Amino acid sequence: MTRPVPPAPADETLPDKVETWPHLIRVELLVALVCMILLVVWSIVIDAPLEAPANPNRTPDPSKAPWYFVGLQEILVYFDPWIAGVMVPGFIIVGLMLIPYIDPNPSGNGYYTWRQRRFAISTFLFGFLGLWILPILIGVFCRGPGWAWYWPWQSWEVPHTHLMPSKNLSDLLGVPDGLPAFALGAVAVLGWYALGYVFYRWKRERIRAIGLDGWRYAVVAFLMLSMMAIPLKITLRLALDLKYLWVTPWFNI
Amino acid sequence: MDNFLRIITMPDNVPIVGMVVFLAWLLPVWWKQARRHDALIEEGKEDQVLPDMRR
Repeated sequence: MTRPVPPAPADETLPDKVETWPHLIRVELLVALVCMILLVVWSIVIDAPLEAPANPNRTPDPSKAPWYFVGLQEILVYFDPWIAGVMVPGFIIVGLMLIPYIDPNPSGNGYYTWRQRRFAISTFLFGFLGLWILPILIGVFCRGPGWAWYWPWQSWEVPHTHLMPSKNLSDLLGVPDGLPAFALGAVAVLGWYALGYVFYRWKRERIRAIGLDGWRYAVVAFLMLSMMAIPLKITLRLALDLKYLWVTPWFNI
Repeated sequence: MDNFLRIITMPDNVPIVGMVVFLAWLLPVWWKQARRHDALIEEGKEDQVLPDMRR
């Protein structure tokens, strides 16, 4: 554990507190005005990219969502719509909301550091850059007709095949359909989350030393394992052509 | 390359192209400052970190 940075020494020439108005509001007002002017100029100078009226006999291909949703659209390639469209965004929002409650470490507040917050920064950068920005970039720049992969230098005129996967985990392992396949999927998915408990038993003293009690650790472990399951499932899809690990009547993972 | 150029110049995609530029600029800025503060903390000069942020 490194030493936390103490508060800056008091400067006698500066007041202890200042009024929100005008010190903060004035700056916020100026920023708001600059943004508004920028948006007005932008909307005047650049035409809205409206296309021809919708024609059900000629749908656009590829049909891409706005850039901020393309990451989720890209994840849909690898996951059930219920997972990619509801669970993943839900976990992201809930996980971000929980950060103040599950992170008791004050190091890094008000200053940049790497050594004091290696785990937190690595987790954030992996989630933000690897699981949010990268799928957006892939969806925006590397997906062409049929949502097939096209490198930027490849022409969309040449058709690329995009085969849909058809093998579930039970098919890959030769387990019969029905209850055995259901049980195998349940063991695979629940076994993955059980790793959090195994890690807790293994590193309990260390986990408590960094200020995580049982419930906080359970939340962190659940969110962390859920996050890491995304690249794991994508890897399994790319390496083994795996469609789903666990097929149920309600959802598929 | 035509499709790629068309995509990055689309008005709809200005924010994501801008975000890539900002990330390429700000991540090295963060890394440089973080390493500088880590060095100050290592040298026992914790009291210089917050003034460094404000300079």
